[in-house]
Amino acid sequence: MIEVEGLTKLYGDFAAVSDLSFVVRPGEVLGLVGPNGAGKTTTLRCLAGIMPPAKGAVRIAGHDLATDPLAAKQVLAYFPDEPRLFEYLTVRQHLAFTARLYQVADAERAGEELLRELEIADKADALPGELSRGMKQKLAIACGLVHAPRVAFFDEPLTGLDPYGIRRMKDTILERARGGMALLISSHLLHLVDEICTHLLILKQGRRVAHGTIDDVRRQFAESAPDASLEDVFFRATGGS
Amino acid sequence: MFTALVFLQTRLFWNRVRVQIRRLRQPKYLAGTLAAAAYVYFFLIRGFLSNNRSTGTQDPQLAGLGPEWAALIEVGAALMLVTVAAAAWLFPTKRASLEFTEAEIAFLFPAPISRTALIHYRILRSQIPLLFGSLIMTLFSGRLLQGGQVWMHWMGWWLILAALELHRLGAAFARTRLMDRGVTPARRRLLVLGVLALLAVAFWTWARLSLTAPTSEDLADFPRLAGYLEQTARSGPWFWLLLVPRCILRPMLASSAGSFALALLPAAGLVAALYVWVIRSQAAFEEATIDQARARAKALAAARSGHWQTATRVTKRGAPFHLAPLGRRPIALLWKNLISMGMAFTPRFWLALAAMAVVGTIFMKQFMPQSIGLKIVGVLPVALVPMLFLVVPQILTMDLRQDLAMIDALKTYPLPGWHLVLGEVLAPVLVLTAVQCLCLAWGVAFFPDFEPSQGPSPSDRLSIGIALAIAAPGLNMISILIHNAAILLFPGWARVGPGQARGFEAMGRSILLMIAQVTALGLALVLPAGAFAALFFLGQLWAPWTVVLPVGALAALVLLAIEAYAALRMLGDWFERMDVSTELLTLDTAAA
Repeated sequence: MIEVEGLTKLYGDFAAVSDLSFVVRPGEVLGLVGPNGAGKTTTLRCLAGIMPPAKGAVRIAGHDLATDPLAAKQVLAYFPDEPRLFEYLTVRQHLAFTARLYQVADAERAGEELLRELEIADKADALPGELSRGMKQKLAIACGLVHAPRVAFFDEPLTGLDPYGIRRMKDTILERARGGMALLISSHLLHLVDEICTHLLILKQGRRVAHGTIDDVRRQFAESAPDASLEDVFFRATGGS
Repeated sequence: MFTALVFLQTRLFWNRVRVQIRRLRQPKYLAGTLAAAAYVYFFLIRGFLSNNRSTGTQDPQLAGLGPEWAALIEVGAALMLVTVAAAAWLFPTKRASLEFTEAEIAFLFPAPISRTALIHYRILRSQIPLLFGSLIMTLFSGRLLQGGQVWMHWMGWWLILAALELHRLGAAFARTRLMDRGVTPARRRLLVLGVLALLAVAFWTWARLSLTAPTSEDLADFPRLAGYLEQTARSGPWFWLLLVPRCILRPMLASSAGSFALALLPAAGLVAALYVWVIRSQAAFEEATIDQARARAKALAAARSGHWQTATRVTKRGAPFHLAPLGRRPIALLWKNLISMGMAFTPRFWLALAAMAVVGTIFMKQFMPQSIGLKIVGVLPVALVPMLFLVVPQILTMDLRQDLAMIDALKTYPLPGWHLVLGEVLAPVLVLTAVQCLCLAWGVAFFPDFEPSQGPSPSDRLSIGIALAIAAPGLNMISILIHNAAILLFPGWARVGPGQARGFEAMGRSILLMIAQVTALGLALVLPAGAFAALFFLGQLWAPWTVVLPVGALAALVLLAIEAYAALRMLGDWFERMDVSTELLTLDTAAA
């Protein structure tokens, strides 16, 4: 479970995120959307323990990120928009390295299963430089999932993927949600959010402008048009046209 | 059309200068610039000016040395130019490509601009770095070469560099045209090697028939030997081989305006001829240029996004040991960084190297006991130990210096900051210590005697070797930690991959960092060195020095370990408190 209370992040005097509070329960997929500069990536980085918030509290599966960061990091996975890989480690070596960091007892089996699931088993001995953008993304996903996290943060997970990769990524996310993982996905692709998210959080200039289930948010901003697309809802919520 | 290209080039230049000047508002850039300016003034310009003031317009000669050196340098430099020119025909295998950025390609290649105009633009654009390079060379050579005037040296250097650049371009075009006519690089190399072989035969024949061997008088002192060599270089085929490069070198070496003007005519004529050759021999360069620009942009983007190793070719490397999924977490980072170091640092490689060296030395001891080579191979590894300590920590950067660009990934790892720092620095410490221990073991086994005095006895060597091997890991750990502290404290200042900041202020920042690192190392060694000295001198009251020495080293190691632990905790704390939001920006700026 992800619990966020009054999260605020300042860059000097500028508030990138202001007083943000929400909860993502096991099995829920929260879509984080907003215009450019709304504070989506900053929010994800604060939740993943990469940068400290100026104010507020974050609990990951019950562990306070400020007071017990190691326990919190042990159960979370963060997937940035650009895969962060070591150019000199092969696919298999990446998994071995990650498994040791997270102390995964059955790492070999878990790794092989993930490689098969993500359809990169035949690239196990390849270096990142030999992989396509989509395959690198899959490798980053495999590394993030090898320790069976209970919480995952995705930043633009479909960037650079082909239609097969997109389908596979959606399946992977939905399977984890069904397995009880709490997921937070930041994306500009509203059709993806509509398709796989159970909840929606719309940010604008670092502030929450809408939060709830997809249907709740749709009702809130397009009451007169129940069939309105998420795109219409987004524009109404953020004051765009 | 050409005015548009000139406009583009001048705007690019001035905008770059404006950005660099504007950056001086930030203290780190200002401090770096001031430090670099001080370095350039005190080490280059002041020496250059004093050299020129003191000697007026004498014949060019090396500071503090006789004029025979200048003549020899002219011959050596001419030979170097010949070698560079020959290499341009022998080694490259790719088609001609000109250096254009992706933006220039996008705007200029589809525009109605002729190929000749593009080459002109490229030649024009290269003049700014050539002039700057000439200025730097003038400052350096001005410290050594006395005589002549600054502007003569500068223009002379510009002529040399311009000729080399034009020759490189012309050769690239000529190679491409040969490839278009079906002459493969392999065939071309054969041809060039054939010409070189013919030249070698001609020189050998001439030497046998006409060259007089140096007399004992020629070998009596250096000026006479230099005179003999210089005379040889002016006769026979040497004269013709070195005629053109000497032509190009002469303006730089001129001592007066008159001699400069005389030397300028043939040199400028040669540059003009090279220019005409380049323009006339132009070949299709667009495709190779686009590939080159794309590769360069990809490497730059990779460096800026933290994947700087993609900027260089990465090959698959075996793991140094099996990494079990359970166990101490810092070992994972050690394992990763050892892989990053590559095959050269696997135990198998070092064992093989040690075995070869030992067998070789035993062979030499057996069959050539008096050889000077044996003495050298006995002393050299021992002499390497302190050098390794000073130099390798700057080169072996497979630690936080390599990984800090991926700080957002490192921050998500579930391990305390000091464990992460420890894991990151273990690989260079381990490898450096292993290499030093190997050298020390070598010294213990093979350190020679230097007659008439006897060298250290085997027990003396063993004591010294053990003491140094005990202290080495502590010393190396402190040194590597200081380098990592620099990058954690000043991420925008320190080197982060090849995408690091370049330019004048970056040079200054490097100087300041180096001073800070040396000072920190000195301070860190005060206590351990004091403890070692006290134990060593007092201990000799009770035991022989061969026993006391390793004990003193052990005491120093304990203190170094305490310091290293304190440093690790402090660096770990810094790492945990590091705000990525500002540091990533700093790293990006540093890479830009």
